[in-house]
Amino acid sequence: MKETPISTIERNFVTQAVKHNLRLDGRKNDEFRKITINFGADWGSALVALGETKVLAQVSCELGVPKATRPNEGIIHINVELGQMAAPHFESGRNSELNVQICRTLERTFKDSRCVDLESLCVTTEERVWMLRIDLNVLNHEGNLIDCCSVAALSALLHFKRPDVSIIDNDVHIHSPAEKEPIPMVLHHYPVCASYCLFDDGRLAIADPSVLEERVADSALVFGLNSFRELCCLNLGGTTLTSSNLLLQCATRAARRAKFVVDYVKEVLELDKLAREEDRNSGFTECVRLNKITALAENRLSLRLRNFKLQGTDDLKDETAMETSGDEEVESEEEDGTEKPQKIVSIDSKSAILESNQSNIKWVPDDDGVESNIESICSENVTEEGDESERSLSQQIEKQMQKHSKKESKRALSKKHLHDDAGSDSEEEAKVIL
Amino acid sequence: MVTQTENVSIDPRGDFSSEDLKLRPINCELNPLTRSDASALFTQGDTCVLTSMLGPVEVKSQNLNIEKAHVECIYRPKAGIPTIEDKLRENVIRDTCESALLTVLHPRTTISIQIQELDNRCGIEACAINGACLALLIGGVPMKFTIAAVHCIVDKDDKVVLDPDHCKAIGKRASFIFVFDSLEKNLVTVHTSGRFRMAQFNDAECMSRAASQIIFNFYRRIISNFHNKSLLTADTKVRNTEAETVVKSEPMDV
Repeated sequence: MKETPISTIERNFVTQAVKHNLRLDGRKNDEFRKITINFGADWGSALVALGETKVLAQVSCELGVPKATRPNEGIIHINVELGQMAAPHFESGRNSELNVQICRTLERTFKDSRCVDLESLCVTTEERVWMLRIDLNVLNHEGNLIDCCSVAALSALLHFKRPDVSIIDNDVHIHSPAEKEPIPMVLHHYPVCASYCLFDDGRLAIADPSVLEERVADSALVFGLNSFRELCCLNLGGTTLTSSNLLLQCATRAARRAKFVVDYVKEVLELDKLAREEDRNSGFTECVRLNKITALAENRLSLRLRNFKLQGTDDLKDETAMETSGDEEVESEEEDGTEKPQKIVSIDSKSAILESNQSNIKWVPDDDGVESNIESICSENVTEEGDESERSLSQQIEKQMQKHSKKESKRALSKKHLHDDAGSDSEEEAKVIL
Repeated sequence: MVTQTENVSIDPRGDFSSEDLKLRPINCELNPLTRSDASALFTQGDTCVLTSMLGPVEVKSQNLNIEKAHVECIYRPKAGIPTIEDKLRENVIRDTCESALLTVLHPRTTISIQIQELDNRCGIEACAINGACLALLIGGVPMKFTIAAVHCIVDKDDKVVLDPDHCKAIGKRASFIFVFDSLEKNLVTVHTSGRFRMAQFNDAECMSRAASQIIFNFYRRIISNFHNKSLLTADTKVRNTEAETVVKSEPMDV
């Protein structure tokens, strides 16, 4: 099947709305969707949902021969699968441009940043090493696959345990989990990706784009960062080259986001570990039983009122999650019902309290949101963080940009004008930093 | 969508004690995905699959059939590239679903079924067929009948075990998958592997046929809940809860 084209009206609507700091799903410009992680029964399997985008990651390993150039290091292979399940226009078994792009960005984030201790994967030098394979099966494509994939890969890597081996008479014996406790992975730092889309000739950036925003945007900006605010990968795609100022602002925000995500991953892993220690059932079956997987569907709210935000009352949610009777239907099935609030209780000049038809959801006036919505991303100050980390991050970006422009210059002459643009931009940026 | 653990309530044959006719708890969640036409997350015990369907949609020219719809099935293992075993599963599922679908109603189209393995703890094929059937039911493609797959093994003590978990299945001598239709309870598919005696096969078939009713009851309840709910979503909450109680108090007939 072919991908449905976007009409000009749709395109104009989205770009105009973004200029007014409005997004179709009611998020703020720098707001990411909610992220949820579920672990499977096997070691190293994780189902990550970023809003409605869903990715299943599975890490597996086998013994193999190391590369001749690096005889004492293990090998990591990352594979991204975009099947028809993700979106009707994808075809399984064929490497699309998107597939290659995601794969390469993840390779740069995880392999080139050397976050996995490859030497610990060595069994015997030059003969046998562990070959890790990270399979990322995209289940649902609702925009920003790269972020979702990176979080899935990271949580699966952290969850994975490889079997222990012992060498008896030059023969490698792999122990089953019952014989010897499997060994967890060693990671030096935890990188994740955060992406932005640029609109309005590169003057506006929005975080965590949806499918429509991704397709309409002028260019995409992907940062691979770890929780120490170190840049692992930077990818600039599309037509517009951004101003350095916006780039730095986005980088600072992305670094904050990376820290948040990594902390969340650690928290969830800890919970999973506790559950396994107490010998409670774990795995996807348990998540379905506790209504965890649809609970993350967030009631399929595709439109949100500007000055209101949805607030689920937590205690009620827990109650419904524990119930396992048949009448607990999937909230996601109700498409129109939940989106329309039932009645307006009071109307102010700026706000009103709305009651939704679901007991566990309340509409509450979004007080702080009103101001920040008006504020443009460009006019905001970014000097909230410490100066030193700021500078180090900007230097890293500068390096990446220069590397990028060097690469550009090596390319064919036909692209020379492009290179000039890139070159001048990085120079300009250097001035700003100095 | 969360449902109760389903146990067989009536024993249709005298030869089996009710303990024999016990399937692992079945659970499912409908439409967890947004991009496909219909999807279902189906779990049976600790085995878990995600199925989605598309169709009837545009067909590739090499698959075009002017008399009926082309049915395709894609099975994705959790790790690694699909193996020969996975391809075999794919074919079994495709043929089974094709026999249940009224493909003549949609000539020159494709109906495509995608299956993603989430947790494999024995009986993944049966789980995948049941999940695919649910996805096809919500997807609204016309079907002759619904299908229910039951997994059975001959264990190491030469005993026939219905729907075992992975601990019981260690050292199994043979495994069967029986698929039945909902109308006459006729066999739609049989897939066997290993060595067994004919008597064991007959035993396994009888047990599976009786147990398939549990799955058909489950379908009925899930689908009626699903459609009742979606009809009433625009209505007030009061009516919604009223309808719920009606659904709940409905007696379960076997």
